[in-house]
Parts: sequence; structure tokens; C-alpha cells
Amino acid sequence: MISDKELATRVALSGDRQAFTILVERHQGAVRNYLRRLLVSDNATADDLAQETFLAAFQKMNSWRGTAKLSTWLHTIAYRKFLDYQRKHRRQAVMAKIPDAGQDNRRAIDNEIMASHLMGLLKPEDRAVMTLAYATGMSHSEIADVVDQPLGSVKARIHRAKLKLKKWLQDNDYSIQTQTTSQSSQGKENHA
Amino acid sequence: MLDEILEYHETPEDDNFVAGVMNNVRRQQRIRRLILTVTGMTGAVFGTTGVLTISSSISQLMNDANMLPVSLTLVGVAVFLAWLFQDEVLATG
Repeated sequence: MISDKELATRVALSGDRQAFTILVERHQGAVRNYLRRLLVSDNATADDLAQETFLAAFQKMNSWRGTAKLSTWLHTIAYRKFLDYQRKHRRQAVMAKIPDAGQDNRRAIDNEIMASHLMGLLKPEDRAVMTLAYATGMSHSEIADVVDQPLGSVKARIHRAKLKLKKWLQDNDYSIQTQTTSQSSQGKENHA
Repeated sequence: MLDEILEYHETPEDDNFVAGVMNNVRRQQRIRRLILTVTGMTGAVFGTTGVLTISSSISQLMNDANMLPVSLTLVGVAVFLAWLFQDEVLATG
């Protein structure tokens, strides 16, 4: 498999579109997922920003130094695109709602919906660091690079956000609900 | 528990997205080429106009009966270049 660095060099030197297509195919999932989390499941806008992210990456490929991973650099561009978008649409409050699934609310609370809801509880900057820490598996120093903040601030942000989310989960008895869900599904299986 | 909830649960990957990005890239390259062409052509037009203007005035000057100003200018340029060259020789030597 051709490395990201080799492909990026081809793009930077000769604007090789085939090489860039491979890079987009390789990194689209991570970038789109990241923006979807930041935009609390506004998938259409997230995908638009992801398109802009890749276009900017194509234009500025020369500026990727190669010391950091390409995925880290792409997340940095994506985060800046998100901040720009947010600045332009400041009045719109982003708040996820748990979809109304009728009486069977437990079915609606699957992990993805819950993740979106939890993201809606956080400030945009906290959403960014928590997603990078928990979903992409980046190190704290890589996260600091992406959000362009000191390492200490990033660690403090993650700690505070984690406490907030855990408290919300405890207050809303999330663990009990999931247990009940799994018990009921086990029951159904036994009946079958 | 947070790890489990916050991890990505789906991988949004499709060819339409890639095609969209590559269309944007192609469009952006086309616009860049267009801007370069227009700018280059504008520069060429202005450059040609300038050269034509100067050449007509030079030919007009050459056609005049009095060649003294042209001769003096040429001699002046030659003296200046000679002085410049001599200075460089002295400096390097």
C-alpha cells in the first residue's frame, strides 16, 4: 500500500488527482465522522464541510510538513472549517434531541444517538477534544496540535467534559436503562 | 462506558462523496487555469502595446534628420556600462 506521505508528495508536486482520490477514499470516514460529531449529527452540513476540508487539503498540500500524521493535519483543517462555520452561524444553537420513538424509548437510545446527545451537552471546543480523544484515539499532544491549544488546557478540557458527561449519565440512570434493554432483548431471545 | 458510547459506530464512506470532492478539485483547477490565462493574456496585451508604443517613437527618432540625441544617449549608455564593468574588474581583482 502506498503511504500517505508518498501520495501527498505526488499531489503537492504535480497536482496528481489519482493520488488525491486515494487519500480522500482513505480518510473520508474519519473526517466525516469527526465533523458529524462536532455538528451534533447535522450530517448534511458535516459532509459539506468535509468536502471543503478535502478541497483545502488539495490546495495546501505543500504546507503539510509530514512530521505529523496526515490524518492529524486533516482533522486540523476540519476543525478550522467547523469553527468558521460556527462563527457564521453563531445564532443557531446546536442541541441534539433524542428522537421520539414512541413508548419504546429504550430502542432510540442506542449508542450513536446517545453520543450525539452527549455531544450536544458540550461546548464545541469540548466536543472536538472529546471526539478526538475517544473516537479517533489520538494522543493528547496530537489533539493539542489539532485544536491549537496548550497540552495542559486540552487535558483539563477532557477531564472537565468527562466529569460532566459521566454525571449526566449517572443522573439519567443510563446504565440501568441499558441493562434493562439487554435483559429484555435476552428475554425475547429466550422466548424465541 | 464513555469509550463505548463515544467511539464511532458507523463509517460514512461512499463513492459519491469522493466523486464530489474530485469534481470540486477539477472545478477549482479550471478556475485557476482560467485566471492564469486571463491574467497572462492581459499582461501580453499591455506588454505588446508598450513595445509598439516605444518602437514607433524610436523609429520616428531614427527617421529624424538630427541623430545627435540618439548618438549621445547611446554613447552615454556605453560609457556607463564601461565604467560599471571596470569597477567590477577592479573590485574582483
